[in-house]
Amino acid sequence: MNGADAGTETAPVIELEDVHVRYGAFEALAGVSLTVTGGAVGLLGPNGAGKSTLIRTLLGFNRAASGRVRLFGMPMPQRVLEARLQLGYMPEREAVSPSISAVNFVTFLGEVAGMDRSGAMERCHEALNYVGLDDARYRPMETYSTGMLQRVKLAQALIHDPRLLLLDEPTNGLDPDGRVEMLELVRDISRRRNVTVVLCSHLLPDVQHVCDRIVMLKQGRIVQDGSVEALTAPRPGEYEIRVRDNSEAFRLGLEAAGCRCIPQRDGLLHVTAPAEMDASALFGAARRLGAQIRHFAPARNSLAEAFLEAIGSP
Amino acid sequence: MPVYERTYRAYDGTLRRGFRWAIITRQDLRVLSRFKLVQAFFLLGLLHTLMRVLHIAAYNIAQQDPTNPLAMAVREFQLLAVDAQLFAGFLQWQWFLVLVTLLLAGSGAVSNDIRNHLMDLYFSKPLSWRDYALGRFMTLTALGLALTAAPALFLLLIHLLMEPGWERWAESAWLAGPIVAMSLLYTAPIALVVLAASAALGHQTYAGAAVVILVLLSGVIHGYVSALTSMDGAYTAYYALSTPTAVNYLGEWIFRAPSHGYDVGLLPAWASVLAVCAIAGFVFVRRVRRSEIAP
Repeated sequence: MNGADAGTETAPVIELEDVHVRYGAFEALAGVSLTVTGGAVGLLGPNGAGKSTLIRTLLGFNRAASGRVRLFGMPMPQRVLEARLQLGYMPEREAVSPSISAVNFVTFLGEVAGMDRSGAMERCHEALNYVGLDDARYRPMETYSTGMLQRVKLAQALIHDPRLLLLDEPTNGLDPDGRVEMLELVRDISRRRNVTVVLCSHLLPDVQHVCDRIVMLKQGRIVQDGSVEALTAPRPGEYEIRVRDNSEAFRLGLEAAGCRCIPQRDGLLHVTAPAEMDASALFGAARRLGAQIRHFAPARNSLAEAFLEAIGSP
Repeated sequence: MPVYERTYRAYDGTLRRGFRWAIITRQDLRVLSRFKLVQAFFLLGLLHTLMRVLHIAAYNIAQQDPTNPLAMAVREFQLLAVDAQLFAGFLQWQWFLVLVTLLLAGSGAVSNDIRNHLMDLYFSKPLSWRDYALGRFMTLTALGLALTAAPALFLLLIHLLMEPGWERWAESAWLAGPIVAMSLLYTAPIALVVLAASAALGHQTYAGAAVVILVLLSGVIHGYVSALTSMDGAYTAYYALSTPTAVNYLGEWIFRAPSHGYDVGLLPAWASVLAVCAIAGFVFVRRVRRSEIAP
């Protein structure tokens, strides 16, 4: 705990109640209600859905036209500066001070967060070590690659040990290795360091890799909110089956019995069975038709399917 | 904990509140102190101060010992007396350095932060737009005062130390107030105008050019009014349209040492300076506020 208001530790980290945010006549958030008590939450949605507006509202950059926003139990924007003591933010856009080094930059932001100079310097090195920025930390930031700048942005967000980390597209511009490393860091922060993470991304695999809860936004409204498990739960009566020998006869036999069969890649068959037909009936059919089942699993929604279902056609 | 261990631990220190603007100012001054051109202008200011130190020393020695060879030199070169006029003149010379230094230091102060998207990072920390604006303003004010009030007070101290007795102290010590007041008059309006240009124009070069144009325009206005008053003395208040002229007039009034032939009038002079400060302050603060709180 960083010495900020300890009396708010039991309150939910984020509470939004019927929040409306407008840019002139355009309603960017239209009645958003959301409570986050911990863990990693992914914000998903197409461009213009309101993800960044939601994050900026949490930061106090956007003021709600109506509704209630609370962070750690503190009303926003009245106690925005207190809330920011416990909040780290990694913006989507490149944010650099070209002529100074990462050490100077992150230390300075640590001081802005309220640390004394020597504490900020020590903590800066720890944060830069953690994000994996080595000797380059002493070079001017104008010489950095995109990946290094992303690391610096993450380090400055972590320097004051926030309870809530808001990450806006943290893997933007990263090569595949850098992306995996960044996601591992974020996952480590959320799972082992007990920091609540809100990850805003349009990359479904990133969100699925890190988050245990997903909130989907469309046109400023929450259209889906649930755990990754729930969103990708098995669908009743749908199975993925792979058989050895007589696979064509097996497929035709199932279709004759009223199943809908869709061949997938690698010999996998997506089977939608009628209500009266359960799993044991499918095994019985395979035995009868001389096919040997090598893979049998209830079919799950992929996150992409859940996303498309929630936001409609892309 | 070892520094070079790749890990992450909870921060067990305390996060301080208040005086966040001072962090902005300190960081700015730290960065600017490594800026070669800023160093060069401070060096020029230092050379000017050293020349004045020699002047003050020579004058005081000559005053107290007319037989000293320096006394003849003072008479020979008709060195100015060490009085209010000398300090006002010193500050007027330093004004040019203040203008150039603040242009170098301030024209990119806000525009670069906006262009490099740093405002989002600053305001995600417990920093308000008030802290940011005050911090930036105090940076330029500190630079301006370091080129005006600090050397002028140093010169005054040298002069007082060379005075023969306490009664002579009282004659000169009152100059400390006017020195600080005139230094602020020379610094604050320029600081606000430079910051406003930086915030409004969004580019260091444009901001610098805009301020230079405004200063040149003030000179042109001064010239026109000068021509008008040479024909008809009734137009002297129009000098207030040139804010640098108004500032000079107020400085001389503060020092009780009029040296120019024009009479701007106190009210028009103050109105001119305050209007420029108010407009520039409004533009600057409005832009900074919009960076934290979306309109």
